[in-house]
This record gives sequence, C-alpha cells and structure tokens, in this order.
Amino acid sequence: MDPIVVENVTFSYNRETPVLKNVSLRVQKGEWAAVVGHNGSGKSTLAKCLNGLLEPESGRVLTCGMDTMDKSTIMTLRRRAGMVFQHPDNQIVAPTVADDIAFGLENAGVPYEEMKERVKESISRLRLDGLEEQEPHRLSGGQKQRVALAGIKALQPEVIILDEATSMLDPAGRSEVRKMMRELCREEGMTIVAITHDLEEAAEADRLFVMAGGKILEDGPPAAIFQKRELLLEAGLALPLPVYLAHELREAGVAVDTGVTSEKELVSALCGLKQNT
Amino acid sequence: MRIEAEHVGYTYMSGSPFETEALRDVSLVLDSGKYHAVVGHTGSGKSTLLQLFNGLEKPTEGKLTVGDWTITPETKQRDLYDLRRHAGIVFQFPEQQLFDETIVKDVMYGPLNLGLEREKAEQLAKDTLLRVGIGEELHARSPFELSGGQMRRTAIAGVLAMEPELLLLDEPTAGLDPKGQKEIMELFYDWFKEKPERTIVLISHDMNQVARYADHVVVMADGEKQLEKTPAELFTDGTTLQTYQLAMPETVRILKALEDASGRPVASDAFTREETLRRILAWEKGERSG
Amino acid sequence: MMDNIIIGQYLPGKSFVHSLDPRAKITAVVLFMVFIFISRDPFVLSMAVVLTVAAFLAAGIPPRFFWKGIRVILLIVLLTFTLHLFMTREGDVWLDLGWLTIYSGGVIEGGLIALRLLLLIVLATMLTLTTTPVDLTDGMERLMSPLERVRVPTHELALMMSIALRFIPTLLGETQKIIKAQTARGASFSQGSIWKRLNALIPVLIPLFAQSFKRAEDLAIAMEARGYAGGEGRTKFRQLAWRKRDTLILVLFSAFGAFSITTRIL
Repeated sequence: MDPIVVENVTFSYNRETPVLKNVSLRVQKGEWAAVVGHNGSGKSTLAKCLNGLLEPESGRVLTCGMDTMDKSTIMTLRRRAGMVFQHPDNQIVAPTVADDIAFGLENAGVPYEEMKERVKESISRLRLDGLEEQEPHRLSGGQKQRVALAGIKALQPEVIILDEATSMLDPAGRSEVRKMMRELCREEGMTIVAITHDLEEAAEADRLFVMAGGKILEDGPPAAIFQKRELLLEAGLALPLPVYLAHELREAGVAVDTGVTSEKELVSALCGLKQNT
Repeated sequence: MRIEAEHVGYTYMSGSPFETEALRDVSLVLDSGKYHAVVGHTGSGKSTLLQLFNGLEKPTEGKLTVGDWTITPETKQRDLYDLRRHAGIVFQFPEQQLFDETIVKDVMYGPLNLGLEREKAEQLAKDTLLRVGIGEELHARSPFELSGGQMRRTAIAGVLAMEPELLLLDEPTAGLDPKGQKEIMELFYDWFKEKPERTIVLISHDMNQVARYADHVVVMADGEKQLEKTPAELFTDGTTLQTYQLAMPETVRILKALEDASGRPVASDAFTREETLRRILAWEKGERSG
Repeated sequence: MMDNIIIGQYLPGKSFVHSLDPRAKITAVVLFMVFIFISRDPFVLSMAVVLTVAAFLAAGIPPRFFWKGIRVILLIVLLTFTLHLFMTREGDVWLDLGWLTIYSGGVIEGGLIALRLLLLIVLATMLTLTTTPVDLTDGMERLMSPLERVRVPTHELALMMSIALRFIPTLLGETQKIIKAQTARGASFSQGSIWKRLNALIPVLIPLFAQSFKRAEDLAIAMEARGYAGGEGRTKFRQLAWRKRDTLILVLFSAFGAFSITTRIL
C-alpha cells in the first residue's frame, strides 16, 4: 500500500471558506514528491493533514496505512511520518543538539541503550558530528534544520514531510538540507513529501503536485510539468528560466523543442539547430 | 548620500572572553545616487557593516563618513539621532518589528518620532502604504491580521515613510515566495529611481537579485573587504566567484554554457530574462549567417 | 554589569566537582544550607569554611575569574553585615558616638550572618559553575520525583525549565534586534522622563510578546508532531551515573549536618 493516500479531502479553518477542496493524491513508497504552489494555495494545510495535526472535514487521509482520524494509532503514525517545519528556531525543544535529537525517542519510550545508539547514528548520518553538546542558538539555519531531520531520522520513519523547510535558509543552508533529503530518499529509501515554492528544489523530485486555490491542478514528473507553461502561470509560479527562454525563442521563430525544461537541454537544443539546417 | 569608510574596524564585546572581531580595516567609498550591494557568506561582517552606515553601531576603529555625518569611536549616540532620519534600514524579517493597533499607526511611528505633526504623519503613512500595495481597506486593521507578505510590506512602508535618502536593505526578501520577492525588489527599485540622490545598499545571498539591480558590488569575507566590482565584471568571472563561493547568476550560466558548447563567443553579462533572450537571439542570428 | 555576576553561569571543565552527579551536588548544597543556619558553634562554622574552600579548590575555578564575578555579591554581604551592626542592640556597648551605638551583639550577629551568606553563595556558585543547565534541571527533576505521588507535576516543571533555558538566548537576541529596528525608526530609550522612557518600551515589548506567542504555538505543534504526550511512558536520554565519589560527598555533608545538629541539641 502507498504510504500516503489522500482521498477527497476538504478542509477549512473557519468552516466557511475551504482551504482544501476535494484533494486526492497518492505518493508511492520511496518516492520524492514535491507539492508546489504560491503562498495561500493550501499546500501547508495539506502537509499538516498528512500527520493528523489537522483533521479533514470530509474525506480521509491514510498515512503509512493508518487513518489520521484514528486516535488509537496517531502516535504510531507520527513516528512513522516525521515532519520538518518552516521556522528552524521554533521546533528545537531541548537545550542541546543531542538532547533534541533524542526528544522523539524519549517520547516513544525507546530504552536508553538503544536510544544512545540511534542518536549517535543519526548525528553522523546528518553530519552533525562534534555539535552534540552545542546549544541550538549557536547553530546556523541549515544546521538547525539538519538537527530537526536527525531527530526524525532517529525514529526510523517511513515518510518525511518537509513543510517549506528550506524557505527561510540562505543558499548554503538550502543546499545542505537538500543534499540530506537526497541521501535519505535515494540511499535509504525514505518517502519524501516536500512542500515548497522553490522550483529548483522541486525539479529534483520524482513527482510534482501543482496546487492553487486549494486544489491540485496537475501532477506528474517535473519535466512534464515544466513544459506546461500555462499551468505554471495559473498556479502563480515563476517559470524556470530555461522554460521561459525556450518558449520565447519558439515565439521568435527559433525551432526549440517543447520538451526543453533544463539549462542543459536548452543549450544542446540550440547547438543542435545548426546540424539540422 | 555618499558613504566613505576609512580603516573601519568593529569588535563585539571588547575585553571579554567572548570578544569577536567582526570588521577589520575596511576602506571603501559608496557613491551617492547608486545602487550598491554587499555580498559574502554568513559571518563575513556584512550585516555589521550595514548597521554602521546609519549609526546603529559605531566603529570601534577608524572613521566613517555618511552624508554630512562623521562617525568615529568617540561619537556620541545622540549626535547620530539626526542621521537616522536620513538613513533608513530594513532588517531581515522586518515584520517582526510591527507593534501598533492599526497598520496606519504603525507606519506613523517613525515620522512621529522625527517630530512630524500627527496629520502630516498620517497622510504620509497612508500614501506610503498605498505605494507599497496595501490598499485603504486594510489601513485600519491590526498588523497582526495580515498575511506574511502584507506584513512585510507594512514594515517596509514604516521605513519609507521616514523619507530617507539612503536605504539600507538586509536580506529584505528572505522567506518570501519568488513572486513576492520580485514585487518587493521592484518596489525598492522604483523608489530608488525617483530621485537622483537616493542611494541603496543591499545585502543579499541571491546573486540573481544582486546582478539584476546593483551598479556596484562589494565582496566581503572574514570581516575584510575583498574586492569591489561592477556586476558585469564580477558575475562573468567564474574564477573569482568560485574563490568567494558566490553563485553565478542563472542568466550568465546559460549564456556561458552556450558559448562553451557552441565555441562561438556570447556576451554573457546579461542579468534579466529579457536581455538573456536578446543575447541568445543575437547568437542564433550569427550562427545562421556564419 | 550583568557580565560580572557569575551565579548561574556554567564554566566547562573536567574537575572533580564537575564530574560529580548533579543530584549529589544539589543535595550537598541543600544540606549545607540547612545546617549552616542551625548551628552557631564556632567549630561547626570553621568546618563549613574548610568545606567551602575545599570545594572551591576541587572545582578548579580560576581565582581571578571567580573574584571578578563575586565582587558585586560581596557588596550585598557587606550591606547585610552593616544592617545587623546598626540594628542589633544586645550585649556590651563597644562604641558610642551619640548618633550611633555599636553593641558587641551587633558585631557578632552581623559577622555570623555575613559569614553564613558568603559561604552559601560561594558553594551555590560552585554548583552552577560546574553543572550544565541540562544536568541541573535533570538532577532537580529526579530529586523531586517522589513528589509526583502527591501530584506535583515534576516532569512538566522540569520540561518547562528546560524549554526556558533553551529559549533565553534566542529571546535576548530577538530583543536586541527589535530595539535596533525601533531605534532606526527614531525611537529613543535614553531620553526624557521616566514615563517617556517606559512608553518607548512598548514598541519593543509588543513585538516580543507577539513573537513569543507565535513561537509557543509553533513549538506546541512541533512537539505534538514529534509524539510528545506527557511524561508517562517516556524514557530519558540523559542518564545520571551515581558513583562512589557521589556517595562519599553525600556522607561528608551529612556528617557535617549531623555534627551541627549535635552542637545545637547538646
């Protein structure tokens, strides 16, 4: 069974204007899914529905096979599906890095010996060695988000949900976190659901869900989505530069293939023109 | 407003075990009426430098001239009070400074502090809010009811309403989505172009932004000035960018890749999408005729 | 000024006192506090001095650093002494200046109180200088845990304290940033009447509160997402290891306590 199944979910904060309108989606095991949309598209609300922080008004969410409305399994569910939030400072609970990484394990009642082992492993996996006793306020934004990831990794989850986890970081921090996401997904087979407005990050995903106005407009591999210029404009997203250039070049009469979505593809399409003529 | 730094140094918590040197022997001139950018890694001292420019911090060494004001380690804080009306600063996440009951009142705070009459301040606040795109229907609302993007605009209006000549921007678009980023940057650029004496100093990690808007770029590392260049010089120089671990703007990257792949020279100092398109079209024309 | 007070600060190190279990250290300080105020016996007091000096030496605190940090506190001790000197009217008159009479009782009483206070402060400072805040909270939680039976929420108290410790530096940084931002908007915190200055603080306090509420909300959601559901069934990452040296210290301080009680009864 797919680790994330969302069926016909509707949600509103005030029972009047729905933020999510009849949303359905599935994410497969080991897949990296990115949910993109501008601010207010409902993407963060969707993220909070995935681990039961918000409950759908109608429809249902099955995460790791458990219904998010089922109170008896919600704790297990949250251990199986960890979440990294947007604000790096507001999710670190403990006064040191090691203590914070252990927080989820403590909550789960993991015995001391095992906990020690798992914290250690998580620290080296997220390359936080040497920072064990560091106080959180001395860390960079990228390091803080890696601490959050380490805390989740220690629980050995199936799914990691990142709710705009890179949006407040500088480029160096963003690439640190993205690298870790890549490793956790590609090397350890974890399923990743990343909520983002960064199309460069989304380009790395296996599948994109484009959201606007509380609905999923379309889903598919990034290359396929990036070809749909109108769709991206409708969702209020900035076109990736190669997509913009390819389109404008076609308008100007230069025969660039419609499949061009990356820098490399654009350059080789342009250089290929000569050989064709 | 012209800025000149002569051998400026700044040390935090001098004399304690936590002493840190943030700036060392920085000398530079930032011309009036230009758009300047300061780039460098987190911890390179660029934020500290920006705070020296409107007298929020005083240099612990050297001398700084900002417009008609001279700031040395001996300068008294109260002598810098007047400088702040001419030099506004937008901090990172400026929405964190909003406090008043209504949006208009919040924007009036600065002008009132400068001694403006209530009526005048209110008019100024309203005009400035409209200019940053906060419509009249929102003016009487509490700033805490706004969306993140609107809060950011309100906070920026609070600085612009003081009618500064020099605007200091510390990562003004951090955390916004690409559309919001572009709107805010355009807002500053429009403000900048209105009067010839208006000057901007921008700190940003986004090299696309820096290349697009700045006339002059200062590169900082480890509290020292490394070099000053025009965007055209700096951002087409791959080796220098790599030395200071600065990203190449995506427009330049594409044009350079095109040059490498085709073996035909392409002028790569294009920093807008439109300009990049023109360069590719020009290249394509040459390609066909050659 | 705040930089010069070392009570509550932690100084990393590997001394004997650093290596002790926080429970042993806290209990020892509490025992010391109770018993030093029970006895007036000169022998007990000199023993207390010896214990304090020994603790200081064993903690390996640089004397200069310590002296700088304790100076302000010495003023308080001195003030206490002076107050007692003037207020106590017992014993022989030692000095009579007409407007001021000093009795022997005043000198003895003042000296006694000052000595007790000084010893206590020095020992308490040794505790915080050699114990990380995390260990301190942890030690207190363990020591208070019997109170859980009478429904004292010891786990919650300890968690609150640890979260507070975690966020104090963040909050200080934030305050500084808001002060700067408002200063840049023409605020002045050091001019005008007291009323004006207090008023000037409003634009600092409101954003600070607003942010703290937002932070508390975010933090609660993050804790929920991380599976926090109260203290029940939780295990602990911080393990405290009770060793022979801890028992030794406790025996030493208990012996001191017992001796001090004996002098009081006999």
